Amino acid sequence: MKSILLLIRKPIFIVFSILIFQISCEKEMPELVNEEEVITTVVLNLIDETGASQSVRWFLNPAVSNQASVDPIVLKANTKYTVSVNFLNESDPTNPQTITADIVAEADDHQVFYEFTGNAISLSTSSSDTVDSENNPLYLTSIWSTGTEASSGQVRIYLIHLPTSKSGQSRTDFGGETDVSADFPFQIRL
Amino acid sequence: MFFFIAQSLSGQQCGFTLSGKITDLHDGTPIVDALVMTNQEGKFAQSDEDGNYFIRNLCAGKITLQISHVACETQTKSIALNSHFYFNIDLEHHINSLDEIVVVDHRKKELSESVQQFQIEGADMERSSGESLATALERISGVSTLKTGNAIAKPIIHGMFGSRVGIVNNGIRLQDQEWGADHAPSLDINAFESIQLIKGAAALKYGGDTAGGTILLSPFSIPVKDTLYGRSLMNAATNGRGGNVATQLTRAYVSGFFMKFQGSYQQFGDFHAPDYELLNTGLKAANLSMRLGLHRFNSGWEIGFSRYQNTQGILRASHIGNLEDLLNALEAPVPLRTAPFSYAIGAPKQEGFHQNLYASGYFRLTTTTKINLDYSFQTNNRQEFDIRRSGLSDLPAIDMMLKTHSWNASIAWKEGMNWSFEAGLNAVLQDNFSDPATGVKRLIPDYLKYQAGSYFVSTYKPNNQLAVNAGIRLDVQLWDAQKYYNRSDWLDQGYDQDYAQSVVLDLSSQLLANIEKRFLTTAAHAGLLLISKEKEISNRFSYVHTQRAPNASELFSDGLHHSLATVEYGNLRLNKEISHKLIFDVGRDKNTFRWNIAPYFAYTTDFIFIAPQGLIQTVRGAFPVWKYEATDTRIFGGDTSIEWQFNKHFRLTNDTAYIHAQDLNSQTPLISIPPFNSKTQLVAVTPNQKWEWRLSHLWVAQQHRFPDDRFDFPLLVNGQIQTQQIDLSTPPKGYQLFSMDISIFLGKLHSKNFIVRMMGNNIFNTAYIDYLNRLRYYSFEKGRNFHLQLIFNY
Repeated sequence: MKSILLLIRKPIFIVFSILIFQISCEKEMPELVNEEEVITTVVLNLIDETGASQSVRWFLNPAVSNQASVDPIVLKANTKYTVSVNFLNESDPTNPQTITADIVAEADDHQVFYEFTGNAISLSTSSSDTVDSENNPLYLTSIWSTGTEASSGQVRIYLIHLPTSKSGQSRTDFGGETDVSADFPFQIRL
Repeated sequence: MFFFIAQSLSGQQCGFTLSGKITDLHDGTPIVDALVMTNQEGKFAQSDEDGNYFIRNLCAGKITLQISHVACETQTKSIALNSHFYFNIDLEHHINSLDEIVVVDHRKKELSESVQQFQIEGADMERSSGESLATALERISGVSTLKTGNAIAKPIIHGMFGSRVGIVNNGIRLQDQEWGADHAPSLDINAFESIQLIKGAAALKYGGDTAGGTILLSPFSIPVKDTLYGRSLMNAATNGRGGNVATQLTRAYVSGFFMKFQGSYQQFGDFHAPDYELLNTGLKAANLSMRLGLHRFNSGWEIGFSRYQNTQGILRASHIGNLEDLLNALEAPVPLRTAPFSYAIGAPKQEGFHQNLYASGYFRLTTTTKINLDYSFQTNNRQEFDIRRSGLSDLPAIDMMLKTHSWNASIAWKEGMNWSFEAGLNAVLQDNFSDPATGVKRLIPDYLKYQAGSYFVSTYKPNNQLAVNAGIRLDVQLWDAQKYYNRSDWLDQGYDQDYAQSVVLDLSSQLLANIEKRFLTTAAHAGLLLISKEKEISNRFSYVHTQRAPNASELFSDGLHHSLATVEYGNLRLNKEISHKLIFDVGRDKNTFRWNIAPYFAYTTDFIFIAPQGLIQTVRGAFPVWKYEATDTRIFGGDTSIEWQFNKHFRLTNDTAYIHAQDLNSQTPLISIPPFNSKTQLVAVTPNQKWEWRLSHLWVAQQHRFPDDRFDFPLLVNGQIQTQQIDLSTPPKGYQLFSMDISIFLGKLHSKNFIVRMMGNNIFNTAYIDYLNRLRYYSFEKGRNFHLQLIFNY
């Protein structure tokens, strides 16, 4: 056992014993993560030529539910609507945050695209829309013209991040990553 | 020089001669000046220049031999002598070194003798010097790699990866969040002399939870003499237009004291597939390590420090928003984002930073009893950067710091001539911290993990033809995790029923739960090695029992994978995974035609895997959900290797592997199992041994056994909602690749002072897709690559 006694004198074993007793015991309570970029809510504001307006919401907070709540859109036939879209983060209901301002600030990196079922609604640009550095409309504000017949369908709104093209007829044409893909049902009444 | 001392003894049964040759276990070279002592008085001999020894005038009976050499571990053998006898002895020889590593190596050998071992060293280590650990291991039959893109790779052994494969760095398990499939081991292979692979879990010393196998990385052994030497190497490759430099310098003294410094730096730009550049696939890595120690026969110590840092770009086109984006990527003939070559690495990317500080010591109580103590402190920081809005791309989306303290204490001793034992204790304390500043829900929660283990292994080796070994291990693991759950997920999983008492904080949308879990695991292994009399055929048979507690990802994972467009959930209800594995191995290790066949069979209950659970609604549209589940599995397969030495100049080798893996509960194949593959190599050496050519062919078949996870998905096509079937599970077609390798040895032949090597991979620029690449939906694999390697020993 003499060899053990000799070894205890060596610095390495002192280092050892110090390290062995350096153990943390309790962890602090972790902070709740503040998720800044989350989009929970898509709001469409539709104003017709007479100035009558309606607001519809698509809302999904994954922390609370895995089902989205969606308001239907009810439109009159043969009418032009000015439609503006807003994206919000309402994961903390007491402190809703708007994401739309960030999108306007990074207009070159974003694009809104609408895809309708059927062909009862035709989409066109609005003079009050936000444009990017190359004058491409973002479709944050757009004009929807309804057809003459009663019908129903669905509109899908996409928010595309870093699109590879700023124009196109289908989602594929734009490339980029889908940040929002939310469906609203619509009805056109006579 | 050869001499012997013999005295003649009177008696009828005396006068026999024992002779033979003593050779190096590793390369068969003769060992000079080894001392062979017998239990008969005055009967001993020393080996001559050819390794031969003669002991004359021995009397009949049981003779015990003790074979010792200054640079080898002493061996004892016993034989029954009743005639003249020719007896060859293999010694484990490490030139001029007496350091701890020899002894560790030797013990590993004993521990796992009944399971075939594979070693990558020397020229193959050099060839791999520009590669990752996983790529280097692909040289071994039965090893494949699981990739995420082109450079992030981890080894798959017998169809198993991640937590089922242990990586041991200098005697201590590497703790680097190995559970993540999209994360390569945090180390640089240039810091190691050899890589040893033990299939199955025979290395009980290092853990009892690695059903796939254990990879042992051994640092360079240090000679005991006054010397200063170094080695520098450089690799330059055309694909990626980059390479690495690595250098090391060693100062050793005859007193046993030494210092070693090693450093390397690697950089690549975008790699290219046959027809396009792979945007944002560049990488940078730097490694630095220092060792300082005193190695003597009776005692020794070593302290060391290493740091490894890397930045790894991830194919830009693989960062997508939802399943439709993935479908568009699948249908596109080229990645949706390509750009001219660049060295820039932007988001998405991974940054890793691993540090290891260790101290170890050993001393002998007697010449046959040795005590080892090790301590290591590892920190592993992993950051992942996603493409984010409002300048947040510079802020990591995942930022985890894993700190691990490990302590090992072991004692190894010998009883009599034939028995050797080792017993040990180890303890691990691990602390994970996920930084909330990321602004993204934590993928892995904050936790503390305590682990304690003990093991006992023994070997019985009565002669050179038989070895039996057995071992057991017991571990206890405690988890103390604090995790925020979405209220909806908590309710969906039914955790409000089973884990209600764990809730410590109840916010409106989230719950903070303090989850405590305890797992008790055991492991055992028993093996037999039989070598035929002519020492030509060896048979190994082993049974390995392992139990593995679920890892952090399997228990707690909670997040979205951008590149796979999936949401992944852990499962608190998982039990430990229990596996039984039989490995049989028969081969001929000598002669001009060497071969080896190794079939295996593994049955696992509560095998943890991730399975699709349907779709959930998100703001990005419907998303497939994957959740960790348990099932029973059966895996069997076989690895074969053949080496045919035609003559001094030509050699042909082949390595082939096949795996069949089945989920027994659902009666479907398991996912991500390597397809049948076969590697053939022709090696030619010039008469002066200064030139060496290698031509390799790799054939990887299509995997026809896969779980069919096709699902229906509503898509909006031309103004109509259509249900379309999405197929992300069908494996890609098989492929064949050709590689070439020319080595030129300059300088003195045996010292190989200067080596130039030219290598060409995928020389026909074949466009192929690898089933085991998690980003296979986005691009082809790397195209042709020419590679120049310079090695300078001084």
